[in-house]
Amino acid sequence: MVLPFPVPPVVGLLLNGDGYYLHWGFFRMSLANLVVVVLMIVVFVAALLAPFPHGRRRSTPPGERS
Amino acid sequence: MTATGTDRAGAVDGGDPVRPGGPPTRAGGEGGWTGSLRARLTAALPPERALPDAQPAYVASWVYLFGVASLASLAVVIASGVAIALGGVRWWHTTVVGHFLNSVHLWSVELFFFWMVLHLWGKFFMAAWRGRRAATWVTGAVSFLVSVACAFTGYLSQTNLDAEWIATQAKDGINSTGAGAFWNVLDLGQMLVWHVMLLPLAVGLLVVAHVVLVRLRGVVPPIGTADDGRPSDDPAAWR
Repeated sequence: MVLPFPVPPVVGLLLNGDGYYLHWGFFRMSLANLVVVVLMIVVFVAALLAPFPHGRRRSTPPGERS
Repeated sequence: MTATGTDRAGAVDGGDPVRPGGPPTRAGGEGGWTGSLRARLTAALPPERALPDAQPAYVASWVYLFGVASLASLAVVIASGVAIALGGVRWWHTTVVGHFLNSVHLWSVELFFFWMVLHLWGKFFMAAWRGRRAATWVTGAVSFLVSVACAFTGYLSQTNLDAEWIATQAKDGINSTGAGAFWNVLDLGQMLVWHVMLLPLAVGLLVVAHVVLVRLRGVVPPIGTADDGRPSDDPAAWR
């Protein structure tokens, strides 16, 4: 299928044709799955470290406001 | 409907004696099984707790967004799945709209699992089962496992060579567990019904139970704080 926008070659490597597999002894993993796992770790660490925008603050729980 | 006069339980025309101007109710309490059920539900989960407009201060972290990101992805999964089901079991291979909806369904599932695993990591390291939240943890874990089964039957329902290959590879594993006697991965009809009705229904009910339990027990406080294990609707948690 021809896409109407330019696609980096790495995307074609990951998504089109046969999967590319990495081997470490008995352990085998596709490059696509490795990319997803690394991305998940990056997002998780970023969520822990990135500052969260603070909105309004209040000192009483809902239901106790006047 | 307008009540007139006084009924046998003493409801008086003109509104609720406790709430002037409100709808007529039985004097002195909630009437019938509907009123009793309403009273029990609102006592267990008051509206301001079921749909809160603020959260404890410790929720101000991106980690707490993984759960709602999972819910948003699940909504797209369900919507795209319903749209795909309208056209039958093969049309997404041959039409432009079918290709698009097929891709939306696939990538929303990918995102659903992406966010759900991050949500799982976050809650695991928070020990989110503390403070009488074991049922919340269990419903989340079971919904994850049922989602895996649902995604698996989705692979089997693609109606292409990929589905045939996965089914023939999976049958020996399923048969080795004994489940193959009644759960035949080579049976497209059975797998399709499980994928579009039974397993999504199970996931939906589990997710609803999970969210209700989160609202009942509150978001788990950080480990080692003064609020450790305390329900998050405690005023001390809002400072």
